[in-house]
Amino acid sequence: MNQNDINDDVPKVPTRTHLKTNLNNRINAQNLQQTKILSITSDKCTLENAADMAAKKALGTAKLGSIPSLNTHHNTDLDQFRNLSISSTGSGDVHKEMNTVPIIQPSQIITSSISKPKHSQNIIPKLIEGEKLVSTSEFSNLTSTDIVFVLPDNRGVSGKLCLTNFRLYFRSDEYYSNVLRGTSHYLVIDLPLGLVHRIEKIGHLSSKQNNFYGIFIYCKNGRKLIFAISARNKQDKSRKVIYDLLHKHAFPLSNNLSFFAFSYKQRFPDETGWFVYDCKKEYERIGVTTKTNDWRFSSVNQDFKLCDTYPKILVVPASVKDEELKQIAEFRSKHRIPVLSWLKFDNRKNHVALLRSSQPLCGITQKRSEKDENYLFKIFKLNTINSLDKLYIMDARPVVNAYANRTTGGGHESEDNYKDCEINFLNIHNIHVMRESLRKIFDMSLPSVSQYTSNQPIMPSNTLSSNSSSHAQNQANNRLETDDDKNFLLNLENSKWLSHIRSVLNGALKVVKYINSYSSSVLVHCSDGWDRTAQLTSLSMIMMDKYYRTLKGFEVLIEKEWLSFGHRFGIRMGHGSSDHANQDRSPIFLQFIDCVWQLMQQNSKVFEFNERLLITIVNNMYTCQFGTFLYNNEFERDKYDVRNKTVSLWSYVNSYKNEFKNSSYIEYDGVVECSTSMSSLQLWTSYYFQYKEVIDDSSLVDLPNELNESQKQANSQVKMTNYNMNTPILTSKLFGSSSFFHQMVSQMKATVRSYNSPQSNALQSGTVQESELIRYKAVSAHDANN
Amino acid sequence: MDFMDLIEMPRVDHVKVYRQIQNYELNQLVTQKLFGSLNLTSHHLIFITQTDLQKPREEIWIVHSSIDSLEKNVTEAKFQLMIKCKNFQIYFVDFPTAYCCNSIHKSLESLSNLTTENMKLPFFCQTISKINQEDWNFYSIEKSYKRFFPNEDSSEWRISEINNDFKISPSYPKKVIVPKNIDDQALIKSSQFRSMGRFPILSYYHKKTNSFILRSSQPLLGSNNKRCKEDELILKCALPKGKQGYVYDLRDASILKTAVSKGGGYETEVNYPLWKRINKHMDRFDQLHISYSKLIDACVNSSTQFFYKLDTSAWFYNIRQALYLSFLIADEIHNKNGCFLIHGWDGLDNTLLISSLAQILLDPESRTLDGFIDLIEREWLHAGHPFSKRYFKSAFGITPQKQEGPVFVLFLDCVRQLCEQFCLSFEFNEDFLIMLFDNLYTSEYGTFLGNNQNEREQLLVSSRTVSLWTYVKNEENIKKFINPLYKINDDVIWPSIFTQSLSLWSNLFLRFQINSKPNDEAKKEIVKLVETNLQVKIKVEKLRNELLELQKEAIDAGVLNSENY
Repeated sequence: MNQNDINDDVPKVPTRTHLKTNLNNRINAQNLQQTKILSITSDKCTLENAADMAAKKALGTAKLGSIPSLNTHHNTDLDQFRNLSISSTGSGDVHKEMNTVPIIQPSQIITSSISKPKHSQNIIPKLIEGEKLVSTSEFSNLTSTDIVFVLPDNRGVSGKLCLTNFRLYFRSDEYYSNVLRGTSHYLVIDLPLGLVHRIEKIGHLSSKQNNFYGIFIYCKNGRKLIFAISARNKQDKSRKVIYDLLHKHAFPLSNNLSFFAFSYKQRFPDETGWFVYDCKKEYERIGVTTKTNDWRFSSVNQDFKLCDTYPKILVVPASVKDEELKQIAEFRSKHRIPVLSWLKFDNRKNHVALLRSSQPLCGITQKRSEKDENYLFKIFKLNTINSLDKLYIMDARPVVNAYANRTTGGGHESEDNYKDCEINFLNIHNIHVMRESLRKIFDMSLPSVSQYTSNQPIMPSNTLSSNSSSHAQNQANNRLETDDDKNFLLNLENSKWLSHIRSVLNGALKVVKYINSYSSSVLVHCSDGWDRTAQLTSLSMIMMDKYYRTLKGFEVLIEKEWLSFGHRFGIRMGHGSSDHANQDRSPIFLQFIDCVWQLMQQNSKVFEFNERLLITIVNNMYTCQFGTFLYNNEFERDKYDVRNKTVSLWSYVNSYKNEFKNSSYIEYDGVVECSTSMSSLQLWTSYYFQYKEVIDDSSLVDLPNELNESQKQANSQVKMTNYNMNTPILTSKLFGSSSFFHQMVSQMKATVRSYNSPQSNALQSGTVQESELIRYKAVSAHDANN
Repeated sequence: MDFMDLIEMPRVDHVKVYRQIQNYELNQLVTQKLFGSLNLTSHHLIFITQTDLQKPREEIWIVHSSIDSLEKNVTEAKFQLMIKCKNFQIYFVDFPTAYCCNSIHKSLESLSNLTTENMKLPFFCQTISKINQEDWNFYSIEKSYKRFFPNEDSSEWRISEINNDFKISPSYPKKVIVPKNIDDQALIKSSQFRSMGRFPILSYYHKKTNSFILRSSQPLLGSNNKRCKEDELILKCALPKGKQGYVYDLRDASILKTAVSKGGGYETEVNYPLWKRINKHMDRFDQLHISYSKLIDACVNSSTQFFYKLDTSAWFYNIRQALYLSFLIADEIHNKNGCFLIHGWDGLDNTLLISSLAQILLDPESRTLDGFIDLIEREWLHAGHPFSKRYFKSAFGITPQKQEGPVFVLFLDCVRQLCEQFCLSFEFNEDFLIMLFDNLYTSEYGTFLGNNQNEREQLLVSSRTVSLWTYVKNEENIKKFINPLYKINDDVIWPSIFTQSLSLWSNLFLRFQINSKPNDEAKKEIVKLVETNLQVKIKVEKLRNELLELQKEAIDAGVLNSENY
């Protein structure tokens, strides 16, 4: 084991494996305490704090039921025991009353809120810096309104809703206990508003039917939430108020408000996030002007005059003048000229270049640009030794799409005009195909949600007669009888998500092959050169350059290939916009992260960072808490002064580096490749199904029996803190178990580490005082010296 | 018949062999091409590469019985034989002439399809370990009885030796556990009423709740609605007061009529008033074989539509159904007052699958290595699961009799799913299950020979061959099969059976497709970590004790105030 691991002060947050290794209570508790210390500082900065993630998990769990296997075939004889308990967690100190808490039976709808006086207990989440409660004069009590959250199995949970300018926070009035785990908690939903994709009002008060009345929230990460609002009469406008407030703060851009990131003023130990990427330094690192003088920095785009989606500094062949660049820009879509992304040095030749651009504007008439042709020829000449070499142009699109683009003025380079080039089509589909594909994955992860929007009476809005209750029960039962997962594999196949992942990875592998094995320069482009192009260049750079596989390097890579080269995060994610049907939204960046995850699964040791970093990046991409992913390009970010007015995600990440490090990392010089056969690709369930945790559920009973109550409590707390870091406990997975093993290894390392810090053990034993601690340390040091 | 008669050509030179192997340096699969000579012996096909200065001589040994199917591809220029093995390895052999190809093909065809049990490998094999009678007697019904009923006097059950000469039921073991107040005469009557004479016997007794699982075969009701008072009596006597009996019929309700018309049937409500009948569908072994073939086909040719192929194979459906049914039984037994009688058709396949899976969920003992071996002996070998018939061919082939059906493979896969979900609750590891799979189809050990105890005794298996458990118990080997993370878990385990939580057994089904290196490394690392963990723990314990002593010393010396402690 690596020495650094032992010395880390902050342990990896213990997880399921940790629990089950049946450590003694002290160690668990000690870990807990350390995590608490951590969370005091990090609580304010994590978007999804412990309770939130926990609740999300809990929901996933509750949906499946703690006896998940019931959700299979028709079973009329033995279904009496379907007592799904709601496993949920809440903040810190809720364990005291655990024994008295009743177990929730299926279809039992809790509407205690009606009888409760308002103002009784306002719940307010722990606010992060810059977060404000939202209230109106009309509804002074709206910051904490009685409301019923509807679980996916139609059971209602009454609680309080609280809105801030950053999040929607819901906490149940009562504890929910988990029989198997022997714990009880509040059910908490903590949703950063940036994740809201679409809000819908459902049901009508006036309708005679016991229709469901409330608000339906679709999230960008596939989660779907329903809140039922108990309106007393037609004059009761609470739903409208809640809806309006939600709409206002979830979609600031559509409501002429600014992003939350501009109000967020958290300080971090490491505040260098905005300076992680220095364009000049990075290009000098790969060799521009330091190892070769064939390339030069050009400041032609200093004021974004050449191209408003490119960075200020561009790297171009030294022999090409700025004036020529301007002419070339005329021939490239959005003026995105071919520029250098990365250089590889090898023994035989001087250097091999990886370039990126947008499509040439050939059009139907097959226009030519001598300047552009010459430019590529010059680039080609930079690393030629024998006559067989070529400059390879990788067009990421399917060949049909490339042809079709001619009608809109685009097209592709023809080999007749570009004499020393060879064009390859990588057959990666466009953003619309990817968006639909991911939608299918999300639909699959919560397959039965569509039933909520149906017109069938699902839950009475106000009253709860025995009649309707039994009806609801039947509904719930029927739902459990239908097997959501029966067509899991078929749905997975039909979504084609993994085959798209495969085509992206194959494309990157091809780029790597030409650069690495053939030592030929490669130019990558698609239509505009900001989606598929970014995927291909960044993936192939990760594969070839070990620097990008480090934590710092990965941040640099994202800053460089995605942010500075103008991947339109604002539009692709739909930041702050209520236009949920916008055709320009697409999960291209998520797909890239998924590809990195696939690489990680097959080459677990070569990455310095871990899965948690990927999930953190993807989650924060939506929340608009940090400024990093706001807006579409450098130009816009400069315009709104994002750098000075917001906090960078990397400040947060770099402040808690140990959380994001892979404990089994070994520096590896070579090229990292992966198998792209369908049997080796996996679905990233720990992200896509983060609200549908399956195995986690069963793990609850895998605790050793001899644990006494207090130990179980300690365990459940440890388990809870685990959610804090956005890491799923154990991903349910279809293929391969390498990820599982590696998770295990890192968890066990954390365990071992916790043994290695004796003072914390002593603290927890509860018998040692401060003064004694010093003695203890001396003794253990003495012991270690011997 | 002698082996020599079957071997037409003992040696062929100038042969090319292609196979896929793992290249550890490149960290990927490569197709290996070898030149050399092919030799046929009575039980092996041995390929020896040409001696080369650069490379050491390499040998590939293929046991004849491990060959699943042979495909000859003879064209004018190419004389190729494709050998598909039961462990999913595929070899391509190029012969210099068509004549060699044909004769080797013919010889292998007959050698790999030998049905005579006496000619099988274990009887000829010189294994390193000696025959150890203890391992052959690893399982004894007395031991199980003791375990189920620590207090013999108060027990309502007894061991009957009625089947001592295998006359009553040839597929049952000599001794069985039956209700105490049922005499042997009633058992004989009942056996005549049950298919293959398999009357209801005790399979598992859950001490914590005093519930139990019985198993049998279907009753022979026939179209004239026969009944058997003694059979009814057995079930009536078995059921204690306050318990609800369930007859778990592993056939779809729609099939029952067909079953009756064929002379079989089911327990009617009228005749068995205390028992409630539940029909649950499980695919029969022949359907399972088709599913298995499709699964392996999808895995071997994993290209486009991989998931679609997996889905149509229905293998996951079978796993889910098996786990689900055993889950329901375990729940009734542990949480309710249910007692079960399980049977399907003959009670040879799915019955054993469900009852053994339910036991794994319920019984912590069966999750230990010894307990699991005991379970295999008790619920599969002694219960008469026809190993010889079911595993004569694997996924690539089938005999005309269509007796193949990988029920035990399904069982192993289900157990592996459980192992994966409860990675600390099982004493054995995945490698153990893979080892069982490998020995299931072709083995140097005699354990899986024959179709039941009766046949094994006739073959004198226990004195002529080595038991597989002798191999397992070997000190060197046992290390490989122990899960380093094992912690005793006395609870019942409740698995998740959603398709999302099931996984493809990639280390087995994709063993020649995927790179197993990362997994192997991680496994090794876990073993190492557990070791370190233990040592550090000891150290912490030691330091703590020292601290306590120091404290005590300090208190004694008056340096510290004792009230604070």
